Amino acid sequence: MIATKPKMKMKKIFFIVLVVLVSCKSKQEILSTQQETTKSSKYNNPNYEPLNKFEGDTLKYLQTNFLLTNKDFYKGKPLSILLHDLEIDVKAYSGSSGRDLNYSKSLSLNFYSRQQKKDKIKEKKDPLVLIIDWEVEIPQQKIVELLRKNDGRWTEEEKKYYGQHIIKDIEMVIPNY
Amino acid sequence: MKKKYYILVLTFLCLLVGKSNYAQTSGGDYGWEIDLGELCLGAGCPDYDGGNPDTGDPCDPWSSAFDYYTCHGMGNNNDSGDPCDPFSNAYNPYQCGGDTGDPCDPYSYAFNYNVCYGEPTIPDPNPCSATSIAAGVAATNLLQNSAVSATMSQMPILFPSNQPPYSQQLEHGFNIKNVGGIISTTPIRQGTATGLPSADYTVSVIADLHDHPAPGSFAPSAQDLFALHVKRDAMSGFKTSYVSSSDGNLYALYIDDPNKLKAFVTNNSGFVGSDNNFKMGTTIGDYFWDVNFDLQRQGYTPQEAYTRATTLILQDAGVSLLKTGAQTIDFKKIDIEVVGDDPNGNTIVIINDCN
Repeated sequence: MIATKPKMKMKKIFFIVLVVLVSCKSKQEILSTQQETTKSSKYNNPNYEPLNKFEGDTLKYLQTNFLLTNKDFYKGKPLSILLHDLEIDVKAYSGSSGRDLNYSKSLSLNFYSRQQKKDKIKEKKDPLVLIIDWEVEIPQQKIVELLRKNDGRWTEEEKKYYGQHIIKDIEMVIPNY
Repeated sequence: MKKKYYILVLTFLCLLVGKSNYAQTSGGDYGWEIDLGELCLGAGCPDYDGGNPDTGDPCDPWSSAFDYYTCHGMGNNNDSGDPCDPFSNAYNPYQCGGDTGDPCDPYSYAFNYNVCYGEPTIPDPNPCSATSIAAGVAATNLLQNSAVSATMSQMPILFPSNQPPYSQQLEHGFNIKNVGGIISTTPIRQGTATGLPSADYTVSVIADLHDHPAPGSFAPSAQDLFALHVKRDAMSGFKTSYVSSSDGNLYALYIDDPNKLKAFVTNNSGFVGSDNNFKMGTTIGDYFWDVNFDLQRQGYTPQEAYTRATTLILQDAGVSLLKTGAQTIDFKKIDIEVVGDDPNGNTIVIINDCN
């Protein structure tokens, strides 16, 4: 009778510890699921995969989320949707014209600074340039105004201005090396 | 009772571990392969310590007064006075084993960098080389030939790009032949608003001319460069493609180095976009549009920036871009030269025209 009581007590403690450990594990899983759900719902793209899943592989992150099958999600929508989803900072940008130099037909988003990009090209690595083709070409005059005002930097003003324009297509620079 | 406390503590520990595992809600480590910049110390450097008062101490690396030599006693005030110490004002190789007289010995009075290592590379002070002058003269003489200027006078008038009826204008052009030293032209043919189909290219064709009537389209395009290669490949005497632009200028793509042109096209396959421009998405297109964009940031007009960025690509293709006013034909090479990068990595260029 005397020996059974501590045994029962030990069993009780063991049971409580087990419950606590299981609850800890469940808490982790719930947090993880919550985070993933938040990502998808926040960005409205059901196939969006967060950057931390790519273990530093930014090229794969960009290709997976904004090219391949996922780019259809962004086509026909304002650029602001894509910018909202994008988890990498834009370091530099430029644009190109079509037949008429007075209108811009696309925007290039660079994720390396100009100097870093030159170094990457020298090292024959991917320069990581995402190209946004516009549904309707943008007057070059407005682009040049912004370009000179902010000295070529990608500021909140650029984000806001370009963000309102509709995406026709998305590409990336494919190096010839 | 004690054990209950242990259980409580264990519960909190488990919750803490669970929470900290997910503390990083964004992928802050994405840029791990990006190099960190150099740390700048001393005068002229940014204020790293966020506005703390400057100590003015030459031994404080965060101070703007930081000076390594002053701090470590190796400055001019600490001259060793040793005639064999090259850092001393008393340095005298004659008192220290004698002068070697070697122009490559930095301790010798005979040291001469240019003699030892050759002339340092400096930008050509006269960018207009004999080859560039010759190209301008050749392009001018050919267009002033009576047969060519007669055909040229039959070309439709180009309207300024901001005035109607540009939308109705189509490209026109003709070829220039040389048969036994006699220059002649093919009849003027009509293309579309954005192109002129190839025709009448026989072995004797040495040049051609077409116009760019479309609004906002001025200088030779990427497609013109590609076509230049195709024509040269088919006709070994082909050297010049003239472009008459609605901005009132005439341009000429002049082949300086056919092999370089061929190599360029081979190495940059697919560089022409469906709009005849350098294609975004290619390495060369990305470079072209970056330079073009940055030149506009620097104050160039979109047209001028486009033309100048084109010359930069043409250098790699062994082709010169020549330009003249349409009234008095006198072709001169226009060019830019890259002289370096600014701290933001933007390409610094200087105008390098023949005047």
